[in-house]
Amino acid sequence: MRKKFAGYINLKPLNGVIYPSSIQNILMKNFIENHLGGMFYLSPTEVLQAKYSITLKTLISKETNVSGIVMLSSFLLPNNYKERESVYKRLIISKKKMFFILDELSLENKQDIEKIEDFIIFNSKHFIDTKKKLSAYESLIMKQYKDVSFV
Amino acid sequence: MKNLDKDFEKNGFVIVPGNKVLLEKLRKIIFLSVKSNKKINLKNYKEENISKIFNNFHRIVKLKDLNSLRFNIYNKINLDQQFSEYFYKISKDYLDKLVGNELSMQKKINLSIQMPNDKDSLLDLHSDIYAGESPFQVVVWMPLVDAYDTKSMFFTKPKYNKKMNEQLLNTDKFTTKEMYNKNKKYFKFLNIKFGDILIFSPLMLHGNTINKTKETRFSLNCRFKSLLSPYDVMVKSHRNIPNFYRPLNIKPLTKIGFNYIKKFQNK
Repeated sequence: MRKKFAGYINLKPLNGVIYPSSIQNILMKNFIENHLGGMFYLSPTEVLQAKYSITLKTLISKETNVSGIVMLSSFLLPNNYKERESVYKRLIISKKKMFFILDELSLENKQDIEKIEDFIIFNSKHFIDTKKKLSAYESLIMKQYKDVSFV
Repeated sequence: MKNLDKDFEKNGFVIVPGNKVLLEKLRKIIFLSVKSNKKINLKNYKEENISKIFNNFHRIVKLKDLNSLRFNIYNKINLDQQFSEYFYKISKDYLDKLVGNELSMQKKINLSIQMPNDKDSLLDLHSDIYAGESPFQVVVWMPLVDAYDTKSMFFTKPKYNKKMNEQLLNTDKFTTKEMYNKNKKYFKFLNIKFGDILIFSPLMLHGNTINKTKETRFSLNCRFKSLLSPYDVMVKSHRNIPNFYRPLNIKPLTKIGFNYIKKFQNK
């Protein structure tokens, strides 16, 4: 019998891109059926106004009878490091797995936590901010290279 | 290559020798994918002569079947981690010098197949920067057969690029096709033999026209940038991690430094 996997919809921007829930559903269903060979069970949406990720914690808990949770990216995990640690802990205890489609990563055991945390580095300001102007120091440095330009 | 960085800064591109053994491996993977399609008859061709098969692909596959076949190959090569590793290794020495050695790589390697007289596989005059790509990236373009004349792509020089860039961004008088036709004299088709690779800046205007040669072009392209340089520049787009790029290699000190920030940022 095919295993059941839950989708997890989160409507916060994923490095600037908000994926509508319909698109998240299509991507997750496709991933669960074609990549995991499983059954797409349900895909509740995270409560955007809540302080903590209550929907995600519900999916991880024993109350939800699924083998794993699929979401678009690890960037949709709680922003707070401590809260993420608690998510990982609960996931391992409940013997469930977590899959991140766009990151091409999964969390299937304790060793994978480091891999996920290394990836979440790219959700920091340094990587997601849009660069719109040079700092005074950058401008000064670039003065000597002003001829190296194609536009 | 001795003057690689100076040549790149001067011309906006370089054509350099790639690792031919690995390029042959890339071609072989694509060939095997073509061969596995039961509708394709290769009995008139010798397997070892992949150049001949690719160059004559318009005699083997009907134009109407081309796009679905291309997508099929595209999906296969992008599931194959080795394919992506070969692609990177072929360009690694040049990327080290032009971009750096801690890199992000575009998640998907694109495959183009341009048959003679095909009007539907055209990429009109454009710069990749207009599609929200980072000016910090390079495009690595690998022909899998000899590319020349209209079987290749047209490219301009930086001095014309500056002028035309201004026109293109500020005019409502021309289409991109008209703009190309008006400025044709400022573009030339790059001749790139199989075995060589083209690396260019996304700021440079380029494109293709109908392939008027008697041969089909197979080529691959993929983007690379320094892991730590800006992704979204001037406008927010999806050309970032995890939507478009993936970290290819993360150096220990990058992990250590950012994990330090992560741990203490909420305190």
